[in-house]
Amino acid sequence: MNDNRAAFGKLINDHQNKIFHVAMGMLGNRDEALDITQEVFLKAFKSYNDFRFNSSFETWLIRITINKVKDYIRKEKLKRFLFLKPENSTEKIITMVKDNNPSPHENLEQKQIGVKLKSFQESLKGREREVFALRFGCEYSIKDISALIGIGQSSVKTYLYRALDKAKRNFKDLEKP
Amino acid sequence: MKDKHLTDKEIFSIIIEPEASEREIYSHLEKCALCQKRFNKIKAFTGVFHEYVEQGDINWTEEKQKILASISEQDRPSFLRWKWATAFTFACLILVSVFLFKQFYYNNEVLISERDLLEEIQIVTDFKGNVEFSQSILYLSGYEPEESNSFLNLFLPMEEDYNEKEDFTDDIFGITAFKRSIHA
Repeated sequence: MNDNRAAFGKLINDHQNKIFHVAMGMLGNRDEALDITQEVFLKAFKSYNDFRFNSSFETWLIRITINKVKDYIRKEKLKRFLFLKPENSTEKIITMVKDNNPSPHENLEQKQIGVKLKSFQESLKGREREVFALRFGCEYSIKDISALIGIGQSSVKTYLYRALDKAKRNFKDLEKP
Repeated sequence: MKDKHLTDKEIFSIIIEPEASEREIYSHLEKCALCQKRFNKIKAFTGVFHEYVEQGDINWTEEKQKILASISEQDRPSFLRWKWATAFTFACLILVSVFLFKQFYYNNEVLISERDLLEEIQIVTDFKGNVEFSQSILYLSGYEPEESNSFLNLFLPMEEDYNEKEDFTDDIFGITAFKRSIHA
C-alpha cells in the first residue's frame, strides 16, 4: 500500500500542474480548480486498476478532469437555479486573482482582468469552453485536443473560432500595451 | 499579396494554428498596421488568458500533501470518514435508547407495585379479626408466608379471644373449656 502511495506521489508530481491548468482554464477560479485537481487524483487512485493503458496516463487524467469540471459546472448551475448560490460571484473572483504585484494600479488591473476572463468563460458554451481552455490555457495542439475530447480536428477549430469571436466582442477594451 | 484587410477568421486562424496558415496572410500582416493591431489585440487576450491560467504562486508540495491526505482518508472505513454524521447518529441513538429505557423502567415499576398490592390484599383477606394487624407487620417485615405461623404465635392472647368467641358456636364437646381450665 505504501509503495502504491509512493508511486502515486510521483504521478501527482508529474501531472498536478497540468490538471490544475485544465481545470483553471475551464473554471477560471483558483480554489475551485484546486479542489477539482484533488478530486481528479482521488478518482484516479480509486480507479487506477480500471485503467487499460489504451491511452497515456496524462490523457486519462485530463479526460477525468474535463468530466469532473463538467459535473461541477452542472451542479453549480443547478444551485443557481435553486437560488442556493448568488448569480454574480464577482467578489470571489476578485479575491482569488493573484495579487503578487506591488503596484496597486497593476493589482486592480489584474483583478479587472480576472473578472472579465471569468465572465468570458461563462459566456462560452459546452465544448467551446473545454477546447479554448485546452488550446490557450494549456497550449495543446489541435490534434491533441481532438484526441483528448474525441471529436474531429475541424470541429475543434470551429469551436475555437466561435470562442475567439466571443472574446473579440467581449474584450474590445482589453489591450496590452 | 492580399490587397484587402484580413478577415476575422484569417486572423483567428493565425492564432489558432500558426503553422497551418497561408503565406499570403502573413505577408499582408507584416505590412498592414491596422491588421497587425487587430491581430495583437486577440493575441494579447490569449496571452492574458494563459498567464491567468498559469497562476505561478501555488505551493505544489503542499497541494500534493493535501491530495495524499485525502487518499489516506479514503482508505479509512466509511463510518469514520463521515465524522459528524456518525457522531450525530450516535447521539440520536443514545437519546432514543435513554427514552425507551425510561419508558420500560417506569412501566415495570407500575407492574411491580400492582402485583405487590394484590398480594397484600390476598394475604390480608386470608386472616380475620385482629390477626390483620400482625399480618401487616409480617408483610412489612418481609416474612415468607411459610413462616407466618411461627410469627403469629407471638400474638397468642388474641388467638384466645378468638377462641372465646367460638365457644358459643363450635365447642360442642367442651374441649375449649377444658383447655381454659388447664391454663387457669
